[in-house]
Amino acid sequence: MADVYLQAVLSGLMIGGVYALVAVGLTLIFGVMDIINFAHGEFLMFGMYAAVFGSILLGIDPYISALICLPVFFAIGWATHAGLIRHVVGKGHAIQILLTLGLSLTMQALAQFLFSADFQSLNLSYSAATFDLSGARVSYPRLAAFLISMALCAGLWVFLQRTDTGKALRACAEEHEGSLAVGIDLDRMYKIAFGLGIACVAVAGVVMTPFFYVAPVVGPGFTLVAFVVVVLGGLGNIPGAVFGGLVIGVIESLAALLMPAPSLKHLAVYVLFVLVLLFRPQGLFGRA
Amino acid sequence: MSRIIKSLSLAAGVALSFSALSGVAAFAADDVKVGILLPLSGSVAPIGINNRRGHELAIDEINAAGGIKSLGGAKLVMVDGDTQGKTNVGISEVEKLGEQGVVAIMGAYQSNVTFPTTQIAERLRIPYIDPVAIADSITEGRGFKYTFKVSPKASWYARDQIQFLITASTAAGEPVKSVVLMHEDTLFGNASSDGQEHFAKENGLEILANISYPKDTPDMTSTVAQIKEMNPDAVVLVSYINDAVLITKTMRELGVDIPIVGTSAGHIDPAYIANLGDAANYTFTVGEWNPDIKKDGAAEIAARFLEKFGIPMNGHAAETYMSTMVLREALEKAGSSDREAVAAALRDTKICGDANLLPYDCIEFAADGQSPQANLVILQIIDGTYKTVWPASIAAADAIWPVPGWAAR
Repeated sequence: MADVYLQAVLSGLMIGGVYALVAVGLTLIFGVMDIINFAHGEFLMFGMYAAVFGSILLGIDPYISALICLPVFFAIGWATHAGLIRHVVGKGHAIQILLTLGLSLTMQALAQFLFSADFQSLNLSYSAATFDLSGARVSYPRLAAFLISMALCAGLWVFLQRTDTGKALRACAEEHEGSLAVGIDLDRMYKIAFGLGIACVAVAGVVMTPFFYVAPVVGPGFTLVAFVVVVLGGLGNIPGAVFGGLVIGVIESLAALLMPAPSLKHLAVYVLFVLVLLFRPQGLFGRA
Repeated sequence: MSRIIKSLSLAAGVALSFSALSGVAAFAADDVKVGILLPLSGSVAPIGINNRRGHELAIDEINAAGGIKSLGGAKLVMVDGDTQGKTNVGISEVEKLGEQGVVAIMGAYQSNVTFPTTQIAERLRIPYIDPVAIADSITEGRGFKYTFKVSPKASWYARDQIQFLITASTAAGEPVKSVVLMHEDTLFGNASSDGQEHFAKENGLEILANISYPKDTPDMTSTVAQIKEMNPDAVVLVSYINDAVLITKTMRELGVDIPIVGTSAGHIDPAYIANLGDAANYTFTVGEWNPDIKKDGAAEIAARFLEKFGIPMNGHAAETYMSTMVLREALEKAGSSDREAVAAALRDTKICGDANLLPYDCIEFAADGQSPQANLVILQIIDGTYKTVWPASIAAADAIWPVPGWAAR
């Protein structure tokens, strides 16, 4: 029986790594721009479609797609900000939610129109490759998704700590007017933040394609998980989002074992969500 | 302005009623009108349209072979009633079809539409053949005289699954003793699982767990690991396509060497094979029908279907095709297109052997309107195609049981 728990913790950690990358994108956008991106999961979905069709039509391996998608989706995020999001920065939350929610629905409908409602999945030679870790099976594609996600989170962290642009982004997150006063181009920072956030979530989608399916409706589930992760870790807090992602992954996985039925595993996650909101609304890592 | 609109709509109304009249007049005097009640628009339209193809092929063949001989070679003519997948629309369509003088109605694919529309047909005394809708309640405890249900009951899916499990494993010398039941957590999964639990218990199988799961979850590893730990002799699944594929993939990852028995839906979707490739092999699923069943003419009918419509014939199409043949038999016997005479003839209709395209011996109707011998088939994916492996009387291949382990594939 111990093996089953080890298996649950390991697979929870690995999917949690992907949740973390999704959430990091969301929390970065929120931290810098004060906007909650309800269309976050849809960018993940488009990342997955890019990898699936890249593999089926052009024979590009998903891990190479990940490299290509990073700049491409950064540009898409940049353009989305320039075309749409820019108009609601600093406006009321209601209009921001309406815009991103509308974008989410539009993207779902567009995906259904372009790719049909059928789900697609890749069947790669290494899809089922596993190795044994003291009684538990570790899947190589899941491990790869975990490692790539963690590497990107770490890379983003270093970028924010060490580079001038990163420091400017953090300054924006701290204090908008102050940043303006010292000559930071806020609009450019917003575009970078949105581009980075979208690039993160798209790559999270890409690295899942070797073991997960894509369909036009796949996004909202991930957006919801990312909200919980972000709240758990503290809004705008990147290490918090990474930690939160891993915690949620493991809780989901263990809850599937411990709850009376796996269909209740989401319940455990949302109960935790409510508890955090009640007792530590600033999140585990947030400042009060 | 409003007067213009009024006169315009009046003109349109007149034009419409003329076209309706001319539509009626287009039928030759001795044509027999058959009502086809199906969702032809709306979200389930693709399935309704496919059901209609079975009727269409059968009617074309009947007419090409000289129509209804006892009625002087009268041709069958389809009159469509589009339910749009909605109960209330279905009800008014039945009334409309009744006024248009159809001899019988066939439909309506969805159980929730078939249930109330059979009630209206009963009141209007129109014979109603149900080829596809499966809900037990359509023929149970209603005492209807005009409802004729060709399709098996919903609960028989589970009955036949469990029966197959026991037969196949006993034949292989390792009778199944324990099962894990696992189902997606919406109405379809829950209802099917209740039936499976009932029949598994009735047959003395030990149910190690009855697990419900959310169908859109990205990771099922811990649940599958738990099943591996329990090590049942078989796992009986009720899944849609996404989760069916994910579970099989996860079982391969974790090296879970337990036979999978699916419940139609996801496991019978060609996408299951398309998405899993070789990993789909050896999966079992219950199904309504398969072109390879051992019935003379089945393969030819499936080939004609494929040629006419460009897509393979599935179980629904076979059921609608055969239901149309049932109606022909009744018309021949009645020698009349009077509804009462046709209903009486349907009650006495019996089509057996190769003349019955469906996977059992005789179609006939019990007092409650149910076809009592109706059953399901079990298919196994062998070399990337669905093969009928049960019941033995019509099986195209022997079931591969025990299923080879992942390492041995």
